[in-house]
Amino acid sequence: MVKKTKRGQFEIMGLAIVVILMILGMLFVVRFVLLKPQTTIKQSYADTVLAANLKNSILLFTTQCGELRVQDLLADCVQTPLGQSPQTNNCPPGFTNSCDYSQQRIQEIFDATLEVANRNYRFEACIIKNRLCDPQRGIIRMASDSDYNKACEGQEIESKFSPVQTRAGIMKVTLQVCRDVI
Amino acid sequence: MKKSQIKMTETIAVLIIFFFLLVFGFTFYTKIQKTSFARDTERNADLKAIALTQKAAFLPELQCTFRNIQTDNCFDELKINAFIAAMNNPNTKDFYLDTFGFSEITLDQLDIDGSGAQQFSLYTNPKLESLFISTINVPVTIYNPIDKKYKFAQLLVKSYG
Repeated sequence: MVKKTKRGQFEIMGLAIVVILMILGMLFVVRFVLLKPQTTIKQSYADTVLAANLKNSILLFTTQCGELRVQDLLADCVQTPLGQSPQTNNCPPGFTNSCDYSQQRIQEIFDATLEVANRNYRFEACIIKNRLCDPQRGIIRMASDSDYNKACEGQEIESKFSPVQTRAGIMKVTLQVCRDVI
Repeated sequence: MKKSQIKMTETIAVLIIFFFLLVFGFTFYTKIQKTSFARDTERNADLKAIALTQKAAFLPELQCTFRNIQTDNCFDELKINAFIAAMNNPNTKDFYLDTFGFSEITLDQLDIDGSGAQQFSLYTNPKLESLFISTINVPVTIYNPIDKKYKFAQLLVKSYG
């Protein structure tokens, strides 16, 4: 009788082990197969293209300020004090400097693209000196957050930059589009 | 109860548990397969959308050229209008069916700095009963070679899976 009870206990224990192993297997499958982050191919392609094309399209955009392109206005802004070169004489009434005008146009583009898609971003244009922005020259910084440094905090950054030749040196225009870490 | 009856009940119990586990395992496996299939289909639709976007963005019929050198992600406004006019011909649309398949390609010019909003429908061939619609939005420029102005636009590619 004692022998039989022991055998029964062993069988139940075996069954319990099988059930535990199955539950572990299922949890493993659920964790690594079903809850696997969604495909990021499209997302990473879209983000790369978004950052690169948006920056290029912004720089090429022809403004009503003397039909200058945004990149010319930015160049004028970072190399002339307050961006008040004679070039800006042809800006629409009320706009006296290239810095304000270019920033308003860029913000208009960001509002229609990144803000609509609820994406965080950082934009910077400055003359490069020793790999850093030259503090002696104008620096344009725009971001989705009021604090430029906090705009992409805790997020992955898709960063694209363009060097633009100006009279004062090379201007580096950088656009960073942020995305949530999966 | 006889010994043989106990043995039989034990065997039946083991068989019930075995079949229960088998059915449970099979259901679980089917569910996973279904999820993987749906994910693969979605992934393929995404890859198709990426391929379509690349084709549309670099279509020589629409690209800006300067002294015969093509500019990436730039659409010539005159070429766009000529392309749209040509697409009214069913033969031309059939020609692009191989390239774009079931998709919709639209250029949305945004009203920035008073440049005026405009929408150019380049290709329209929607699939009515599609499982997935994958959409990619790419910022581009539209160049007018007459007034030499660049405008800001978005290329919207909708791929039907």
